[in-house]
Amino acid sequence: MRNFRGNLHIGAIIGAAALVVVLAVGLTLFGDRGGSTVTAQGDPVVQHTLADTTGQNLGHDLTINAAWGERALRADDEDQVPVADLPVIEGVVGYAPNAAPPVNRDFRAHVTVELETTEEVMELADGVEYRFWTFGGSVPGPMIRVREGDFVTFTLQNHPSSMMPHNIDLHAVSGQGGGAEATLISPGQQATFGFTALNPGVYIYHCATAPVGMHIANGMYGLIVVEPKEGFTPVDREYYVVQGDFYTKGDFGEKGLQDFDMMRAVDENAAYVVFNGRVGSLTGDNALQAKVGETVRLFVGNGGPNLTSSFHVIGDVFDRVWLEAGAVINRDVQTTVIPAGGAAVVEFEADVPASLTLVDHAIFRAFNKGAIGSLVVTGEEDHVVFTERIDIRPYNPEATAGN
Amino acid sequence: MTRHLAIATLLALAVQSAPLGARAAQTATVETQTVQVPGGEVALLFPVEGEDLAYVEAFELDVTPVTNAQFLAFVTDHTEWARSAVPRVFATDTYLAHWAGDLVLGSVDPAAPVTNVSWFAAAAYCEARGGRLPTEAEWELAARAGRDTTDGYLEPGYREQVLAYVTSRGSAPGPVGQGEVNAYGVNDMHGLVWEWVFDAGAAMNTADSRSAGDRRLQLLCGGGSARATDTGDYAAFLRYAFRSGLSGDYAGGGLGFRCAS
Repeated sequence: MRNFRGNLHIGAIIGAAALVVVLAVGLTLFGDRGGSTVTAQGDPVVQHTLADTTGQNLGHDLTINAAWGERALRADDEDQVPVADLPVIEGVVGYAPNAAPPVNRDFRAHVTVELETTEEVMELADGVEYRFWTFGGSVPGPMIRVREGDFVTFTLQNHPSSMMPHNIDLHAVSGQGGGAEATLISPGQQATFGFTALNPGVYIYHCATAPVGMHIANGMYGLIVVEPKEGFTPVDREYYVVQGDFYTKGDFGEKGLQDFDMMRAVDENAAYVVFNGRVGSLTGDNALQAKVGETVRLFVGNGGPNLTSSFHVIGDVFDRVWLEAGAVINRDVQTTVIPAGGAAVVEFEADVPASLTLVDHAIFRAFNKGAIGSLVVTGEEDHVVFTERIDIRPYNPEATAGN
Repeated sequence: MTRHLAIATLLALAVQSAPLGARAAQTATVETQTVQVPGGEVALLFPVEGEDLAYVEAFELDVTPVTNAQFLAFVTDHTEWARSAVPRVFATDTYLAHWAGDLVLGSVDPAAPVTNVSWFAAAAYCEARGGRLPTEAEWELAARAGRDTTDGYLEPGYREQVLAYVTSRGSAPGPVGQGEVNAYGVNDMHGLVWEWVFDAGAAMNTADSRSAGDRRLQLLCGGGSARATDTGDYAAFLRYAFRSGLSGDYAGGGLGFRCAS
């Protein structure tokens, strides 16, 4: 009952009632998984009554739009099935900007995931090379998608050509180091550990080998998505974006192979702030696409290592934001905060044709350090929602006021 | 300070089995140069509890890592350490995997540091030479020297330079002896390969498993810097982290060794 404030026994009664409502609404809304798109009306709504410590009602309501209910009350019969009896399924992944597809399952499974760490020179910007350390050969690493309650057998493989040891800390894991200790491997080794995805949500994973900041700064992060048992509300398009800051010897745009600059990293003075590991990963031919009327969901992570993102999309409003990628949904949000080592999920309907711009609204990062991307919306104009320039003419108040 | 160990019999055998083109280089690299490193105090990144500084007696250290040619000479003389003969418990199946055969280097540069060698094999090599692997404290003391002084940390840009050496290494190391000689006269401490030490890795620490595990944990978590003596020494973090993941049978492409006595 920890979600409910106030007097315990009153809270317990209200809480139990409210959560029954959540589950009922949830089942109603998410029961038909093959169904059509559900948009803004789709959020289950819980009315909480805020009571003070004396049990007196303070008279104002907190409205929380929960994407899923409290974990303890979500346990059900399938959680009692021994892991050995679960069907074994290969994990689904997606490489940015494509999200991993929905798990599309209504049963618990034993999911196997393999992920390889590599060290390779790739472009950080046109003509600018950097020695990236990666999960799966890309920055960010692949999005991994499992279902709440799944038992995951996770294997990390360090490519023999690596020079460094690596490991993985998955923020979705409850256990020592999020798997970091179990998966510490030298080049040419692999290690396997297991965990149950207890909490639904969207979680960062990252390398946690010393010096941790350097492993993260070199690109070792990605997202693991744990779908709640009832699945997410279906949408038309899902994309996968992870912000990261980079610290190079040369300044932004300086060509050639750039070394990691430790002092710059310690000073949190990023030379680059980029989406999906590269300047231009989401612009020009790489721009994200949507059509008018479609609902878009962005899984947005922030690998850091240092900077908190002020994530914003120029030219639209987030209809819904899953705050910190957890169960609380906020509506009508302009800019959402995504901490380093955290994530958010933003959803919006593409209302009119436009070239939307993804930025970190700490705006010098967008303008001067690369934190910029595009989402091109095509389709029918709607002049009520947005009217292009109606008129333009000279304006000179002093000329008309005097004579 | 420098003395030369001519390993005549080994040399002859090595040259015999070497490809023709590599003969000259191999002849040049089978000879071992050592220097004496004066004893002193060294601050380990993660010191033993209660000992801020480790004291090291004077010791002899190889100027360069052991090369493929040198290791071939050893294996030729001690065939129990040949790739096909070594018991799995002493080395994984990646042991000397880059060589063309048990006693054939193939396209491998004889002058490059030998890699894909386990701790057991490296220790056996040093023992056959009448030496041993350097301890972690000895290795760190020797590695700390800069160009001009025995404490490189006092030289501007030293730590950054070492970090750049370490992180820009390729997966196929070039010949030994091409790097910068430090103030002790030791070469290639940072730019070529990781190196085994006598007491490497949590798995090798048998004296106190609690503190070994503690160091391992410190290296795995963000809070790992809390007890490090120098949080700005990233190259040292990389070295200690690398060692913490090792077991004695590990044989990897980026890991070689040199001997001490």
